[in-house]
Formats: sequence, structure tokens, C-alpha cells
Amino acid sequence: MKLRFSLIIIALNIAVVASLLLGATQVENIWRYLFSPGFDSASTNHLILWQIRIPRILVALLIGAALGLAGAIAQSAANNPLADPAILGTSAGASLGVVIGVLLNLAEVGSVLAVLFATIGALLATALTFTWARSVGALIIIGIGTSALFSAVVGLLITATNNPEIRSISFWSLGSLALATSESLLIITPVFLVCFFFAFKIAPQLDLLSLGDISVRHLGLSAKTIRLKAFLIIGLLVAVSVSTVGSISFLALAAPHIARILFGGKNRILTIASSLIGALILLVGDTIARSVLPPYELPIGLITSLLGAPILILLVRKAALTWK
Amino acid sequence: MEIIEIKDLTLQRNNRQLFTGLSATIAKGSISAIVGPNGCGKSSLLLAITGDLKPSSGSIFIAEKNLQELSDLEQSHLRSMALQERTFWLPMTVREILALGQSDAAINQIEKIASDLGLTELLDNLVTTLSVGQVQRVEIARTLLRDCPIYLFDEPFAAQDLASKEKLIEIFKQLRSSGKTIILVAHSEVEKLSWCDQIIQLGS
Repeated sequence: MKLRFSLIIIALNIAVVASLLLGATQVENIWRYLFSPGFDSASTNHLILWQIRIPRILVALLIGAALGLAGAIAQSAANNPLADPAILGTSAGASLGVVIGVLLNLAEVGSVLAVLFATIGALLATALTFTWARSVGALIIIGIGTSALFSAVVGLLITATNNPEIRSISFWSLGSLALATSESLLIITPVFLVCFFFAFKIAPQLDLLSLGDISVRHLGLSAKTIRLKAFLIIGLLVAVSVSTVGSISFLALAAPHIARILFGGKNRILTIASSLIGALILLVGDTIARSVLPPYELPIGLITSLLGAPILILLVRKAALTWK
Repeated sequence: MEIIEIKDLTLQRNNRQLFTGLSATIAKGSISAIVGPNGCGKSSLLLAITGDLKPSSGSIFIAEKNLQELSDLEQSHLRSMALQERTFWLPMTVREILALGQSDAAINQIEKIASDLGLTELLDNLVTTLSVGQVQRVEIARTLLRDCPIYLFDEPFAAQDLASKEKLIEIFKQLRSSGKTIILVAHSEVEKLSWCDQIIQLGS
């Protein structure tokens, strides 16, 4: 297990270095700018490195970790390996929350208020999915329905209002880190750290949900209460992610599955492993997205799917992850 | 001495009345089997005794306390139940599943109970890779690991081969010898349940 963690940390370091070096513009003397932050501070190179590239790398790491963590908690909370914030409707709910906030002129994409609107939307959509679904089996179908419903409303609002402030349909369906700034970090960092702390704290309770709701009650605990705590954490993580970089598909499903195969199903380990794997996938994905066809950027959601899906398919085929 | 008293119990599930006016007493340190045709409310009666299904009317007393007046935590100390339906959907090892929610003393018993139920070789396997019968034995092992006065089993023999069934009956008898009360739902014909102390017949 230590070896696997070490390999992921090494991979993350390599990804960070690659991400610093790669981009539409070649930054000369990059190490000097990096290790002497005051050096030539008025130059374009300094600006690109400290105002664009480094904040974007940090945003990718934190959002990737947030989505990886949200996915791991979603699977455990739903006691269902197919659950993820996109399938449960959480992401679409967050998108609708931000779009409504922006249309009412109460919030800007990436602001604290946008996170608040996104959280309300995320929690509302998730609550609807769980209210409408009467069984674990129905959860995924109902979640897909809720997600489609909220996404359709987002699409209609964007099309009907033609307001550039609410961004494009592509942003809400595939995501983009292009407009992430160091200000974004001021919101993402505390939200992620607080959510991680509480996720780690409730991890042993999330383990118990694997026994099913009735068996949890037989232990004298309430599955609903544990799930409610989990959804508050997922809602916040997805809200901060969606309101900053839009909806990034597949990451929250792939990262926890990969983490489960590599590190097992206990949630204490999963919170750490799924966060690290999510961070790695998103950073690699974003580096590819912005450096393959410069100065154009590929939609990040496509790259995360291209990266995550083959790894997931290979690992699941090898590891008998699902029922015989 | 009775540990469970069921008084004039009527149960309803999904707007369907299962049975009315059931009264029964279950003695401490006994084995009771609930039998009857499909859909007559056998599993529902177990769920009423565990407090998961509220009666339409009537009441259940456990150790002379009205079940409805006990908190979930108080009820948890009274009974341990093996469900019939599959509840383990996420890939965790059998050992991890068995340890969930257990005391340290129970965790130290995992190897022994796994050995009793033929699960030793499977302890480090993912529960998602097991057969239906093996998963059922994991659920039974999990139930047995908890130290409670009452144990309930919903169709524990349903997916078991003959050797496993005989082993389970042996385990139930040992539990009875140590003063524990066992209630199980069985599909066996009444004459095959002679090792039980009481048969509760539901339905026609």
C-alpha cells in the first residue's frame, strides 16, 4: 500500500513539473522565475508563470481532489458503485443553482455567492433523487432522470437568455479551467480542506452504510443521518467545483473506483486515495487539454473521460469489482 | 421465562394486510421457527420484532419492555439479525465486512466464526466475488459476532448445501445452550424442524 501511495505522489510531482513546463507559450528560465518569485516580476514570463500557470495547476489539483473525494463519498453514501455526483443529479443541480444566481444578478461564476447558489442546487437535486428513488436499484435510473431534468433547464435558460455571464453550454457540460485564477483558490482551498476534514471524520460511519440501512439501524445508528452528513459534504465539494470550472465529467466516477482497486474499500483510505487520484487525473487532463493544440484548448471533460475510462475499464476487468 | 411477548399483533406492508391478531410468547434460551406460505408475513414478523416495521395494531414486548418505547440504541443491545437480501454492493473484503460496527472483542472472534461457517479461505476475498450462499454465510457470521440475547435469521438455509445447513443447526443449538434466544424464518416443512422448540405458523 505504501508503495502504491508513493507511486501516486511521484506521478503527481512529475505531472506538476510537466504542467509547469508545457503550455501555449514557452517560458524561458522557468526555474529561476519559480524559485526566485521576485525575479523580473514585470515580465510576461513572470506573469504567465505566477498569474496563470501556477494558479491553474493548483486549481486543477484541488478541483480534481474535490471531485475524487465527492465521488468516493457518493458511492459509499449510496452503497452503490455506480453512484457519482453527475449520476445522482448533484452536478446538474449545482449548475442550475449558479445559472439562476447569475441570471438574477446575485452572483458571478466563481464567486462565493455562486458557490452558495450551487450548493443549494446541488443539495436540492440530490435530495430529489433520494426522495424519488425507493430502492438502491432505482437510485441510478432516478438520478439519471433528475440529472437530465436539471441539465435541460440549464440548457434552456442559457439558450433563452443569451447572457454571456452565464458561460456556454460547453462550460456546463464539459467544464473548463481556462478562467480559473488565484482568486478562485481563495474559495476552493478552504472549502476543500473543511470538506476533507469532515469526510475523514465520518469515514468509519460511511463504512457502515455498506451493510445496508436496516443493519445500520440494528447497530443503533441512523443511516439517514450519516447520509445527510455525506450529502452536505458532496454538495459543497461539487458546488465549489461546478461554480468555478463547470461540470467535469467522469472524474468523480473513475477516481474512487481506481482508488478502491488500489487501496481497498475502507473510507479513511479512500478519502485520501481518491482525492490524490482525482487530482492526478485532472492535472494530467488539463495539461493535455491546453498543450496539445496551442493556443486552442480542448474541453477538459473530454480528456478526463479519455484518460479515466480506459484505466477504469482495464482495472474493473482485472479486479472483479462488480457482482458475479 | 419468556423474553418476547407478541400481543394481538396486526401487520401491514405496502398497503397489504399480512396477518391480524397474532399473539405468541417466545421463551428465553429457545429456538423458534416462523413458517408459512410465501407472502404471509414471515420476514415482516422478524422486522416487527427488530423494530423496523411498525405494527398497525398490537404490541411487542422484549424483556418486559414495550419495543416501541425503546430507542434504536437500546434496541440494538437486544438483538442481532441476519437479513436475507443482499446488502453488500461495494467491493470490501469479507474480513472488512465482518469487522464493521463490531466491538474489539467481536473482532477477535472473526477467525473462529469464519472457521465455523467455512469462510476462512474467503476472509481476504472481495465480498462482491462470492456466491449467494457464501454471502449469506458472511451475513450470518456478522450477526453471530455481535453479543446479544436474541438472534434473528431470515431464511438462513435458503442458499446453503446440506453440510452447511447441518453446521448452522449445530451453531443454533450451541447458542441455545448458552442461553441465547433464536428466531428464524424457515421454508422447511414442520416435521423437519423438530430441533426447534416452537413453530409459529403464519397463514393458512
